Amino acid sequence: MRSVLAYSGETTPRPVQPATQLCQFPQPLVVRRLFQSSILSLQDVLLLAWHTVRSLPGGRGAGARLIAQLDAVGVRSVPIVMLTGLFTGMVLALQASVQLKQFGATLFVGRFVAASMLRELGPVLSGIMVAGRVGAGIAAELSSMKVTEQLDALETMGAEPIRVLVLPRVIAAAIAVPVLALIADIAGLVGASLVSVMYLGVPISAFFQAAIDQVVIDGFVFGMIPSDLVQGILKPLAFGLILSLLACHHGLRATGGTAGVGVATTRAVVSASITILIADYFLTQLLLVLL
Amino acid sequence: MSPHAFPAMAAAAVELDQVSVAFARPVLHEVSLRVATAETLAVIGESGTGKSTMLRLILGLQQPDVGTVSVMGHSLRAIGRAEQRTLRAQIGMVFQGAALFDSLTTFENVAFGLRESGVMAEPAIRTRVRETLALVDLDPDEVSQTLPAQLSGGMRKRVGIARAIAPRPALLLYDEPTAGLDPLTSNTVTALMQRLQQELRVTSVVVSHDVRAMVRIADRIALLHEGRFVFVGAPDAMRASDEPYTQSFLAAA
Repeated sequence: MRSVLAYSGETTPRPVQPATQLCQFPQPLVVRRLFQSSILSLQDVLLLAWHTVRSLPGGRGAGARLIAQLDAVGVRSVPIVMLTGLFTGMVLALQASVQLKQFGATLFVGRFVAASMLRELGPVLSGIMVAGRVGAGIAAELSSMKVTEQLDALETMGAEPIRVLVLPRVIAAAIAVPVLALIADIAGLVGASLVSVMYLGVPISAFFQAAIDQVVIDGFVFGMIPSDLVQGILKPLAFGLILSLLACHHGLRATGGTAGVGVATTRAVVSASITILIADYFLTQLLLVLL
Repeated sequence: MSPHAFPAMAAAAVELDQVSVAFARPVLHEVSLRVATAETLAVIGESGTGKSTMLRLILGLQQPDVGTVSVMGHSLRAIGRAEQRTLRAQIGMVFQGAALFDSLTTFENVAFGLRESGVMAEPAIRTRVRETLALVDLDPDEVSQTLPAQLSGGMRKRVGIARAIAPRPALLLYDEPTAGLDPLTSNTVTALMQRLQQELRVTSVVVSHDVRAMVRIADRIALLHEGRFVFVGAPDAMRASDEPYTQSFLAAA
């Protein structure tokens, strides 16, 4: 009988490459091992995703677990995401004004900020901020459960850790991150409008009219949903899935006592942040073709 | 390997047949063992000899490299996931560090397995949890709403035992139940285990390095050394054994 946590069939931790060997770069063997390790990790994350889908709808208590996670992942991330969005919008307005002033086009600050926030900065910044706050929390919680045998205790009592722990976190992140991205967009536009009014003398109505014009120019999906908004929801949805799955993966894979908790947490945040940035590029390419 | 004085005519609740497990090095090597229904078997030995691995094998949290593990007549290799879950519902496990869920209260921890099984209604669960907490000498009114972090080591261990016995399992596994406790608390936990064995008549496998405690509570003791059993038998027979390692282990204890 195989533990559900050994989702790739590995029951023992992989050997760590000695630092002295890694320093002798470039070496074909080192590169090959790093590549193999990356492929194995990707396989593990995909398998975890598959097992998570298979554990739907989540069984008894799934609703309560999801609500608790929506609170932890979503509601408690609102302040940090709002603050990030607000100041990013303010900085964007300031930077845009420097360029647009030269052409007497400060009225277009709203368009510039709307396009930047809705399509890129809102989703990416929310994803990265949530990866830092929530991803670290998920990885730390699951890894400490792993090293203190709480995951074994769950399995012993007939509860699958993926169903009880991973599924609610992944669904909560998939729901919460798009909403948080919209909140970041709104906060960014509010911040940019304040800068526009106070420093550039742009009337607030003109600022928001320019922002709306930008959304209209970028077109609609099915004739009614702004394509900027579609991008601004689909990307953070993917980012939510990425950060939660990676955080759960690193948490469940933790080894080595309390030191392993720190390692898992760091890995979760770093891998989620980098993967979000890489995924953003490919998603942008895909969505530009599709929308 | 010999049947190691397995009680005659008794049905085996747990059976390990020629089981081998290796990680970076061999841990268990062609180990065979039978635990009779309602028997208490203590597995003792030095650290790293594979005692806890044996419990993980019985729980099905780990597969042997070679050999078969059967629990209550079911070979763990032969049954599917759903059957594994059903079987695990009949096994209670007391973890070394108690492994209580940090975010749940004492009441929720003890009720967890009952709620997960979905067999009992909520009022019956509440009654069972209170009964079980009382059974391990904890005041339900006092500890029910406390978090694990607010409990002492001995209380955590008792809550861990309460969580394991709450569903009234057919098989109870203890992993180092007295480890990390002061001598007085350790005695209290040992006495509690002894009383539970008498009251619940449940088959038990206890992994420990606390020889004195095991002599008090076990029907049979199995001594692991370098991945093999060097002695399996009654506590009195162990004291009388002339096997060199058994002698030196007892002398050291």
